[in-house]
Amino acid sequence: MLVAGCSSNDNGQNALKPKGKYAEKADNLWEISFWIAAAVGVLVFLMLIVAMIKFRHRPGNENPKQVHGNTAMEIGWTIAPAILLAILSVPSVKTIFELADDPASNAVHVRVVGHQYWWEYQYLDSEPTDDNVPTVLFATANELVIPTERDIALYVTSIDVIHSFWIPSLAGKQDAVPGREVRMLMAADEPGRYLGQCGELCGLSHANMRAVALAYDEAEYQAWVEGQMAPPVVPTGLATEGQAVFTELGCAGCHGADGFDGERFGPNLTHVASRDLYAGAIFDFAWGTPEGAAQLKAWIANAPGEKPGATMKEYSGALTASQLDALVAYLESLT
Amino acid sequence: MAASSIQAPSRALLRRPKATTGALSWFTTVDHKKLGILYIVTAAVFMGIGGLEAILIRLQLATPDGTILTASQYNQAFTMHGTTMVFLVVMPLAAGFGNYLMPLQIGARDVAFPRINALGYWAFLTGGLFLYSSIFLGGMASGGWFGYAPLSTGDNLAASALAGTPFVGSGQTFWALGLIFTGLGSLVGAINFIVTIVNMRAPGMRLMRMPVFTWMITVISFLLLFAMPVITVALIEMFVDRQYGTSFFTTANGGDPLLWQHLFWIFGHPEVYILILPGMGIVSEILPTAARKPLFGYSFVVFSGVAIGFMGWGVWAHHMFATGLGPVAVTAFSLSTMFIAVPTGVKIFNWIATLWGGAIKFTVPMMFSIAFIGLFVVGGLSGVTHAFAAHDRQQTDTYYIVAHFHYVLFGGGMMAFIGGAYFYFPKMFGRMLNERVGKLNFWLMFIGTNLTFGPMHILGLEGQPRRTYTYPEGLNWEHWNLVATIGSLILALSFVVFLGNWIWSIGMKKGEIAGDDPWDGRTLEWSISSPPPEYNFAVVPQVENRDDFWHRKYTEDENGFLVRRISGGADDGATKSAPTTTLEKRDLGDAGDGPHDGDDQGDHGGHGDGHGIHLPNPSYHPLVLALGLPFIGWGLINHWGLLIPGAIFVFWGVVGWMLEPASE
Repeated sequence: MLVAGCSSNDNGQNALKPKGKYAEKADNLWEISFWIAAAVGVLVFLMLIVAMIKFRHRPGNENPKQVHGNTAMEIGWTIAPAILLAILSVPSVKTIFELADDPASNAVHVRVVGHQYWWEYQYLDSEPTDDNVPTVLFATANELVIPTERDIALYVTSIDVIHSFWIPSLAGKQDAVPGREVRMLMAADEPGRYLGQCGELCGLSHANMRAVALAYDEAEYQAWVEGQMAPPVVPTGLATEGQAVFTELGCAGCHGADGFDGERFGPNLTHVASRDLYAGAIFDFAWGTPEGAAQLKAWIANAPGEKPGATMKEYSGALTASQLDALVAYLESLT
Repeated sequence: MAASSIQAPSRALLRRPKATTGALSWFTTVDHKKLGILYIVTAAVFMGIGGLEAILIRLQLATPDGTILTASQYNQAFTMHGTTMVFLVVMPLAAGFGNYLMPLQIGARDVAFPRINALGYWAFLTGGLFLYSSIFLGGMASGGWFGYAPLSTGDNLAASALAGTPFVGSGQTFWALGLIFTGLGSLVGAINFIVTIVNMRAPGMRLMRMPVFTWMITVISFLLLFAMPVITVALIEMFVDRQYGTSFFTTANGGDPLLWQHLFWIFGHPEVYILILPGMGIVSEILPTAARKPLFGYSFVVFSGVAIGFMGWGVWAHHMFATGLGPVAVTAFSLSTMFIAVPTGVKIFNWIATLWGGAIKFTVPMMFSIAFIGLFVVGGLSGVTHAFAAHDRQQTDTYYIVAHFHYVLFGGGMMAFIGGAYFYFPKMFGRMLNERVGKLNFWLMFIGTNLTFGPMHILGLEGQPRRTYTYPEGLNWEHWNLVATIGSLILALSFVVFLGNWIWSIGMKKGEIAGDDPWDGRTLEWSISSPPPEYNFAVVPQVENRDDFWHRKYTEDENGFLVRRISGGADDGATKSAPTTTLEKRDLGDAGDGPHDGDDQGDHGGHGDGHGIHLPNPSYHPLVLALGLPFIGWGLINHWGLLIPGAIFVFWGVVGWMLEPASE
C-alpha cells in the first residue's frame, strides 16, 4: 500500500494521476484516507512488534500477571477510532455531493452506451431531463472526443449487459445498467489522450473493451464537431463498389453510415475514417497502411475470430478478396 | 426424542447401520466430530481445485497477452475460483471447525440434531459435486462469483453456436442450482448450531462463559439463518429467468438488473462476516493460550463480534457505489461502512492487549495467529479507504479490491484456519504436526501472501481491472503481475508443505503423540483425550469459570500472577480430578443460570461404552436424501426423466428418516 501511495507509473490509465478536476476531487480523498490509514497501520504494527519482542517467552516469565481487561482503555479505543472516522467522513460526504452537482451551463452532453464490447457516444444537443428528450447530433465509437476545461456530462447506459465506463485519470467509473441512464461528470485540464476500459465483467471480451478519451482545445474540438456534423462523403472509384457491397450484405442493418438515424447494434460509420481505433479500441485502423488494411479485412471477415465473443457475424464465406478490398476503400473514404 | 420407548426394530427403509469405525462408518456417521473432519477434508480437496484455478489465472496474467487460457476458460476459472473458495472452502471450514469444536467447548456430548447435521454435510458435498459436474456437461459458469444479471441470465454466456446440445451453455444454471443445494446444507447446519448452543451447554456454561470461537459460531449461525433465504430466493429467480424466460432481472418485461445486485449483496456482505468471524474466533483461542494470559476484554471481543453481525446487514450497497444509487443512498452506506471499522478495530486492539504483558510462545499456531492480525489490519485499512465512496469509484472492480479481500480472507481467514488446523490437529488425530515443517509452511505462506496480493494494490490503482483475461503491453503492469504470479507459486508450495506435514504425522504415523493437552489449553476440549471418545465427556463437566479448564490447572496469587494449582494441576490428572472448590461453587453460583440444571442427561441415558451414555445411532438417510439433489438439478436443467431418481432418493431419505428413531 505504501508503494501504491506514490506510484510513478504514468501509463495514461492511472487513478493516482488525475488530469481533471473531477478526478482530482476523488484523488484528494485518496490522499487523506491513504495517509491516515498508513499512519494507523504503522502504529498498530509497532504495537504488535513491540509486544512480540518485549513479551516473548523467556525462562522465568511463564507465569505472567493475569490481566482480564480494562474497561476505560477499551472504551477509549472504541471511541477514538469512531471520532477519527466521523472527522474523515466530512470530506468524504462533501465530495459525494460535489460529484452529484449539476454541470456548468456550457457543458458538453454525451450519451454513453455500452455494447458488447465497445462504447458508443451519442453527442446530444441539450441535457436529457424528464421534460426534455434531446436530439442526437451524431454518434461515434471507442474514442470519446472532448474539449478541455469544460464539464463533460456523460449519460451512461447499456443496450445489453452491465458495463462500467471508466477513464481513471478523468473520473471514477459509472456502471452502464440497461434500462437506466445515470449522469457522471468528467473534465480534462490539458489536451491529451487518456486511456480507460470497461470496469464491469460483461462477457468473453470484457478485457478487450477499452476506451480512449481525446481531449482537444476548444478550437480543435469545434472543428472536429463540424466534421462529424457534415453529411457523409460521396464515395468515388473503388469506394463506390465498396458502398454497393455494404448495401448488398445488409451492413447498414447494424451500422448507420448516413448520419445518426436511431440506435443500432453496431458502431455508426458515417465518419469512421476520422477515428483511429476500432473493435473496442483494441485495433488501430492505421489508415492507408497495408498492415492496417490487412487487420481491418481480417476483422470484417471474421470478427469473433479476432476478438472472442464479438457480436458481428462471420462474413468470410460471403466475401471475396476483391469485395473486401472495396469495403476497406469505402470505409477509408468516410472521413 | 423419547427414543428409548420405541423399541420396534426394522421399521426403517434401510437397516440401521451399526459400524462406528471403518470406511463405511464415515457415510452413516452422525458424530459431530467425524462430520467436522469430513467437512474439513472435503473443503481441503475443494481448496486444491480452487487453488489450481487460481494458479491458472496467475499463469495467464504473468505476462501481457497471455495464452495459457482462452477468454472462455479464464472466465470459467475465476468464476469457479471465487465460488469454490467462498462456498466450498471457507464456509465448510467454518462448519467443520464449528462442528468439531463447538460441542466440545460447551461440554456437550453431541449436537441437537445429529442427522440434520449429517444432512448439512451431504448437501454441501453433493451440491459441490453437482456444481463441478458442469465441467463435463457443457462448461462451467462464467459470470463471476457474484453472477450479475443480465449477463448471468441472458444467453450471452452460452457458446450460442452449440445451443441445443444437451447442457451446453447451462454453466450458470448449474451455478444457481448448486448454490441452492449447498445453501440448504448451510441453513440446516446453522439451525442445528443455534439450537445446540442455546440448549445443550454443560451446567454452569453461561453464555458469557462460552469460548470466543463458540460465540463467533453463534453469530455466524444467525447470519446464515437470515442470509441464506435471501440468496436462495435470488438464485431461484435467476434459475427461472434462465430456464423459463421470466424477467426478474431483465429490463425486457419490467424487471431490474439492480434487483439482483441488492439481493446478492444483502446476502453477500453478511456472508463476508460469515467467512471471517470463525477465523477471529480461532485466533481468540490461540492468542491467550500462547501468551498464557486471558483474552483481554472478553466481553468487548464478544460484543464487537455481535455488533459486526448486526452492522453487517447495513453496508451491502457499498458494493454498488458505481451503479448510480444517488448521493443520499451513497452517503448512508458510505457512513455505515466507515463505522463498521469500529468494532473490527476493537478486536485488533484487544488482541494486542492480550499479548501485552504475556509470555508469548511462538508456536506454529501462534505465528499464524499473529500474521492474521497483521494481514487483517492491512485488509481492514484498505477496506476503510473503500468507504470513501467518491474514491471507491476508482477502486471498485480493480485489482485494488482483489488485494483488499484477499488480505482479509486469505491473509486473515485462511491464515486463521491454517493456524487452527495446527492448533487442533493434535486434538483431532492424537498426534502433533511437525513444528519445524510448520514454521517452513508459515514463512512460505506469509511471504507468498504478501508477494501475491501486495502488488495487486498498486496494479488496481494504476488502472488494471479485475476479471480481464489479458492486458496489453505498455501499461507497465507486467512487473507487478509477474511478482504476483511468483508469489502464488510460493503459496502453492506452502500448501504442498502443509499437506506433507499431515501425511508425515498421521499417514506415516511419525507425529509425536500429543496427549490430552499439548498446548496447556484453556477450554474444555483440552480436558478430554486426543482424539476424544465418541461420547466426548465421560462425566458432563460442571463449569465454574470462563476458560474453565485453565482454572482447574491454575489460579492467581494476590498480585494477579499465575500460580499452578497443587492438586489436579498436572496435565494427566486434570481430566478426572475436579478442583477442590467445585462443590462450594456449584452450590453458590449456579442455581438456574445454565440451560441444564445438572442432571438432565436423559437424552443420552441408556447404553454405551460402559459409561451409561446413550448416543444417537448412525443413519443412511441423510446421505440418501442428499443423493437426490444432483438428479433434481440435472433433471431441471436437461430432461425431466432425471427428476425421477432424484425424487426417489429424496422420498426414500425423508420417509426412512421419519420412520427411524434417532437412537435406539
